[in-house]
Amino acid sequence: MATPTYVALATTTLSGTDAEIVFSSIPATYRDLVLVANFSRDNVSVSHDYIKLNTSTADFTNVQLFGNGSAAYSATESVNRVSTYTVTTGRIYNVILTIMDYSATDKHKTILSRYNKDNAGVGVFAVRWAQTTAVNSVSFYVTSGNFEVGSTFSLYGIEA
Amino acid sequence: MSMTLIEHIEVGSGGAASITFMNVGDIPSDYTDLLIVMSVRCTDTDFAALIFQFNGSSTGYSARNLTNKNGSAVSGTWTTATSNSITGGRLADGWITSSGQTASTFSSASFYIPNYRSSVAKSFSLDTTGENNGTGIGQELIAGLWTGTDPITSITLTPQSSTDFVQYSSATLYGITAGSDGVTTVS
Repeated sequence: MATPTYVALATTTLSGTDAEIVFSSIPATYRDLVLVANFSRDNVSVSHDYIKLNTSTADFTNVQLFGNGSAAYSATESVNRVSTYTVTTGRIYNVILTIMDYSATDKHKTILSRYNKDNAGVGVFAVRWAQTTAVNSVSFYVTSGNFEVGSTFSLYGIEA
Repeated sequence: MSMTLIEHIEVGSGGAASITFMNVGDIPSDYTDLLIVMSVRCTDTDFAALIFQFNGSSTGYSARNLTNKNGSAVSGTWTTATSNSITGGRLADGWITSSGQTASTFSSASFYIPNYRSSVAKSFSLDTTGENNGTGIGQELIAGLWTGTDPITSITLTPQSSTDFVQYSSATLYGITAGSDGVTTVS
């Protein structure tokens, strides 16, 4: 592996439940961003985790490959989802997002989401945000219910 | 620097029955997450599974896998995702490149373990690919959980069937430290 280049930007461990984690004022000095979400959720009926870039929920598309333990699937969507599968309350899952060339102003942004829900499903989303604006904030959120106490969310800058 | 090399292990001549982080002492508690990058091959006669154990534990693991296991064609497809109890942390069969495959080919993997010091269960992410010069290649994504509530202080990697890792197999353990740059905010 090349010279280690992870730089810690911000992190939080929830002391109360929260539905949306917002990283703001992200410096434009790195090549890529990595967001590591290690969490549990309190709503078992909600399948998806979502992302906003610069508070935008528009202009997202994705291509998915995922499996639930008995079959494999693929899908495409035009929404800002980064994972699927419902959860078990109190069970720990993780989603690892890599946001490539986030500060570029000459290209659409691409995101690789690798998500892990051991008792529900595993998969990968290739996400496109069809805007050329530099990204200075990233939100990770659910549309119903909350992330539970003790969930952790950390953002890193990757130097090229 | 929030990514730190903890230990790199390269198997010497004669092979090794297992790779253990740490052989001496415990994995330091100074970090937030752990990352293991592996390049390994073993002496089994065909693709072999990997047994991994946290703190020497062989219980409490569960996983969902998404696997492309292509034993006969170059252009494989994602065929199935199988429930895998991974007793003892056993990956789905057929990941580690073995003596039955093309010489000098090694399989690779990236193994990410968030919050390894937590006092609750540990969720982890594992991406693997075997190699055999175009045939019989397999890839796998694994979503795993270990229900152990002690901090992870050791990780042992072992080929199945009591075979050995061959010379030049390697595994590297990194610590990832979360924190603040004083500029970025989180709310």
